[in-house]
Amino acid sequence: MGSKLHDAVVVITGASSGIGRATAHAFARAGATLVLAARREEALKDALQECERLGGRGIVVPTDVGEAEQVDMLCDKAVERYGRIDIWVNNTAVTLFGRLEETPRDAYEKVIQTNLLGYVNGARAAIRQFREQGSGRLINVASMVSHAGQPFTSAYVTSKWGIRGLSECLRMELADAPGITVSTVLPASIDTPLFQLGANYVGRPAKAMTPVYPPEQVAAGIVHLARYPMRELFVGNAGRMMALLRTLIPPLGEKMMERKVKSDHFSDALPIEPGPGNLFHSQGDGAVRGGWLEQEHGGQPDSRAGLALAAAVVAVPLACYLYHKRREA
Amino acid sequence: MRPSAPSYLADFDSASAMLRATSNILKNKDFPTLGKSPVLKPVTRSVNLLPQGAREQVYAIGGPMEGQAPSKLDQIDAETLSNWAAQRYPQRRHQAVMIGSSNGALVNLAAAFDIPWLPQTFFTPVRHLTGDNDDPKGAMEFGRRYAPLLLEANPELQLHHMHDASQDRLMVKYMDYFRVKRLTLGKAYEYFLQTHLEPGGTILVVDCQRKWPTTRIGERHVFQHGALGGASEEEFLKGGKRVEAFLERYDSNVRQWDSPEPDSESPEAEWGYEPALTEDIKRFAAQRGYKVKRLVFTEPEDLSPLVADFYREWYRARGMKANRLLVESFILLEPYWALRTGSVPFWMTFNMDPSAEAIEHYLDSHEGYDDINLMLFNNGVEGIGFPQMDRWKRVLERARRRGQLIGVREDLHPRDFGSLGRYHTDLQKKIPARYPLPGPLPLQRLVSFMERKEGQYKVELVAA
Repeated sequence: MGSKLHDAVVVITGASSGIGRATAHAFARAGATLVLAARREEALKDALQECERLGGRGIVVPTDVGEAEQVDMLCDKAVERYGRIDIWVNNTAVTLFGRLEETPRDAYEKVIQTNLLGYVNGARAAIRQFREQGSGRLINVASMVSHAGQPFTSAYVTSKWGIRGLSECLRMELADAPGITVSTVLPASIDTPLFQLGANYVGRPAKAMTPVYPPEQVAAGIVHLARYPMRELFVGNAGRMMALLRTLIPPLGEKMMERKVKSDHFSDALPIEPGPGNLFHSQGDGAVRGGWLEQEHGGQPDSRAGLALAAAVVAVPLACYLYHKRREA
Repeated sequence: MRPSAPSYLADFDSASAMLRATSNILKNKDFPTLGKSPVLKPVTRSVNLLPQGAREQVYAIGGPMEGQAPSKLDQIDAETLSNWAAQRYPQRRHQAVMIGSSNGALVNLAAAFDIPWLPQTFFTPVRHLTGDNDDPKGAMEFGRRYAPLLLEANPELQLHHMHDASQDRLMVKYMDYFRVKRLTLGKAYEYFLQTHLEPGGTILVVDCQRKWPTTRIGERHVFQHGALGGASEEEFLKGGKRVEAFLERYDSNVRQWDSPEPDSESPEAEWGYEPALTEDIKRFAAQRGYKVKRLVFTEPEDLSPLVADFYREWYRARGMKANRLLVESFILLEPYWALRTGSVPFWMTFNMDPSAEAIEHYLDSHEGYDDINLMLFNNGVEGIGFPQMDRWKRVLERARRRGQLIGVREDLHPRDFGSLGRYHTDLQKKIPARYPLPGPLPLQRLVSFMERKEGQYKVELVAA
């Protein structure tokens, strides 16, 4: 497959809402053939109709990615219908807010099963097909927290670190098949319904941490990777800077993230009952956006917040370095 | 440093080519231009530009260029041949070593189990510029005259002088086929076993029991008129309509060969195993504590369904679709690319009717394949029992999705000498699938497979 996406067969998991649905729209605009997967058939059908209006075509295959057999069936149906798969986007994500010791084991395991094992299932099915074809692009949507830990979301963070590790392993395993590529997308905080729908055992409603970026920006990144594969792609400067800080000065990175989550990841609204959200039963109206940008900035991404964080990430290590140098002198 | 091939060893023969293919795959390498220099590729391609008659002449002249002068047959040295074979393999120990008959299916088995193979038979062509390819008695007398030079210098060799004016018609025009079979291991093979076989490992004797009527010339010298291929033993001996038509087509002066009267049967010159070697292998194994097993079969192609089914089962166990068949022909083999493209290999002895029957029977009796990729060796002759291209196309039509020729131009077959360089690149181009090279399997997997499938194949694995 070259850089052209017209008629490329694209499988997208988690396509019923959020980043997945926005990605389906983006591929549809490029004229791709879509195989949309998620748990809810109705939401998938709506998404497909939107895609058809944008110039795409395709099918929907209701799938729980945590179940390997269902993912194999998704792959089989795509191949049966279109003869090949050019791009596989592993995108499904659920989340859980809460301290490790205070969250139910089954809820925690469900996050790992869906986010991490769901990607493993998708990667296995996709790579088997790609090896048969000798080509294909696997795009794993991870997160900026694949590079930096976060309190109260350890299940999500663990799964995302795992996805990044999985991608890296697969790139090496596929070194003998130059036509097959594996890319990891690392979005920052994105305006999707993930935060409202996630399991929550904190007692306070979760919100998207600022700065928030639109899901369409991630979708554009995924489409870019489909055309021009690369190892990793950050979407949102805040994520890139946070990862850099975490790599350069780990203690400072952890401290900043801890404070940021405590001050900015949960709203001051009324306390809520703990619950599993959409972990075990799919919920939501299939929206692309979660309304966070609207709430914060009237729908526009806040570039100033990102720049401020970027400046802090550069300035703080620089100040530390200069201070140490002066003391040595 | 690895010794170069002795000048008196034929390059484009089953034994030397299969040895190259096996040693290459044991080094994780593929098998371009039959393991020879890449220069061969443009040369063979340019030969294709010549008209048919000239192409045949080039092929015919290529034979004696490899051949040894008859007066220098005493310079052929069995140990040099064995040493060359042994030195091709990487320096490491293996669970087993195969010794014996040449067989293309076996090359794929060697690839799966990481087992080296040492040939019993070598082909040393002898120049015979004044010979007549339709005079088998003349060829026999030529052998009677010169063979003593070879045999007196090499008491561990037995000569099977072969003369096939059908499928080897171009080659026997200017040379004679001297195939020599080892009767003992010799120093080079014994040293190889000591240095490459794990303590307590297995020596696997490849025992193809195919025989052919022969005329005994001396204690270690037989003459074989004809060879395994499209014509039967009877046709070489007594002629027949197909022989008449063939000789007429090639403007021969005769309509039936004046065949020497056979007085016995011997192991077939090219494929058959001379059992005298087994005694020496058993002696050596007993001294060194090795196990000895025999892989016994009659027709060379008997192994092919077994190897294909083994590969298919193995691929499926690895989660692969295993619905792609790669049909190999004579020395057009690609064990490396069979594995890398996830292709199930099925080896055909040659490009004649019995080989077509073998692949047809295999496809008749097995679950179908989505893709069938077929390589065909080009020997320059439409010999007796040469199947026309339509028959191969019907084989390809059995593919559920796509059947295609690999490396062969159907309009030129069997005179497409460019195919000798093209098969390797064409295979990579036409089969896009890419699988990793798997790790080697324990030999017990083969034993278990054969026990489970007992009676399904005309192959036995027995203690020596």
